[in-house]
Amino acid sequence: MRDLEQKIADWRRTMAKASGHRTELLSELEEHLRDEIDRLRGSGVSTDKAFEMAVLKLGAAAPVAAEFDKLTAVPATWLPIKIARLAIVALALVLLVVLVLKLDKAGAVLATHIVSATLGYSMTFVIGALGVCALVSQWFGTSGPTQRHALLRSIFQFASISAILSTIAIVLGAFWARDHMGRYWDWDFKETGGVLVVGWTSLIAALRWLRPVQTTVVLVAILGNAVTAWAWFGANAGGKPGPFLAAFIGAHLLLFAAGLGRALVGVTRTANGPGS
Amino acid sequence: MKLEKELVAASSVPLVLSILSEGESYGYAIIQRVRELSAGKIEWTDGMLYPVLHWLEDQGYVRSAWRKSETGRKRKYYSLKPEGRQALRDQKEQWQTVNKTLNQLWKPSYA
Repeated sequence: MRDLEQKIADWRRTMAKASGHRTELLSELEEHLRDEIDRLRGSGVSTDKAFEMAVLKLGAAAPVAAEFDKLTAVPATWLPIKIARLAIVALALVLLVVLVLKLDKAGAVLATHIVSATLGYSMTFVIGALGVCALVSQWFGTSGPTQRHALLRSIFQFASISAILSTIAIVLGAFWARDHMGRYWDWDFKETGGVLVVGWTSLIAALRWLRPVQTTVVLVAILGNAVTAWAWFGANAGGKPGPFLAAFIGAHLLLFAAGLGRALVGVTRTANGPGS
Repeated sequence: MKLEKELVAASSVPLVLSILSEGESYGYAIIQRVRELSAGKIEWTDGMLYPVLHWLEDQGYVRSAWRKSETGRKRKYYSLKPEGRQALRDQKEQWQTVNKTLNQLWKPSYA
């Protein structure tokens, strides 16, 4: 038995080297190996022979690792994601130029606040736009799991960056308010809107670890467009959105409702079994 | 007669999803079930199943959890998520289309 444990430990070391030390995969493979050894020993095969046969059946480390690499390779980027990345980079460059030009006039704190808020808030619109693309392509069946997977990764990445930028904007805004308005915080429309955006993007970023169903992420991203539109432009209008803003928010709420309704129908079908 | 490698690879996703639609399971049991159902004709290199399972998890089709098994050792169990059921429905439709088309072509009159 001690000999078998040593053999399994040696086998695991060899597999670890070839598979790039994927601990969880190794533990699963080891469990599989042990199950097969148990089965073979149960049918009268000697321990040594059972180990050899089980290892052979499990396969060599390199092909398994190669297969793993192939299947988990970063999926090809989808066109909406490419456009989203380009848009963010272009906006960041424009804002950087604005920051340099306006630095003397506005001061470092206000200029950085404006740049980080603009970029952070804009990214939530990009996330929302990706959500809309995902929902529509899902309805028309024009996106596969690879695209949806790449899309979710992008949504999570953008949400994390947006949450950080918006937080920086809020903090700098508070310092600016202390110097120019005599207080840090007053829960006015802009400040409340900023907290909403940070909260929303943090929620989307946190969904990465909660691993909900894909539709949930997409719907939260779409609703984020309505939240940010209100928080940004609604706040600038003193909490009273104009007709364009109201139509924009309304359209996203409608999309959200339609997506939710369709998802609920899907859940009902699922409850009736795979054949339904 | 054993199935060709390419066909075995192509059928791995619908097979795993279908087995998981019967209830949660783990790698070794999934392979045993495939072997039993195909009377040994579908032969996987056992280790090749795990990249597929991890890919399905990554796609959001299945979820997994480590739990203590009846052997006392820890084991990773997989179960189907709603997206996995949807993917299974899609796969089923595609494979049935292939099956139906081939059946029509292979009617005795065409043989």
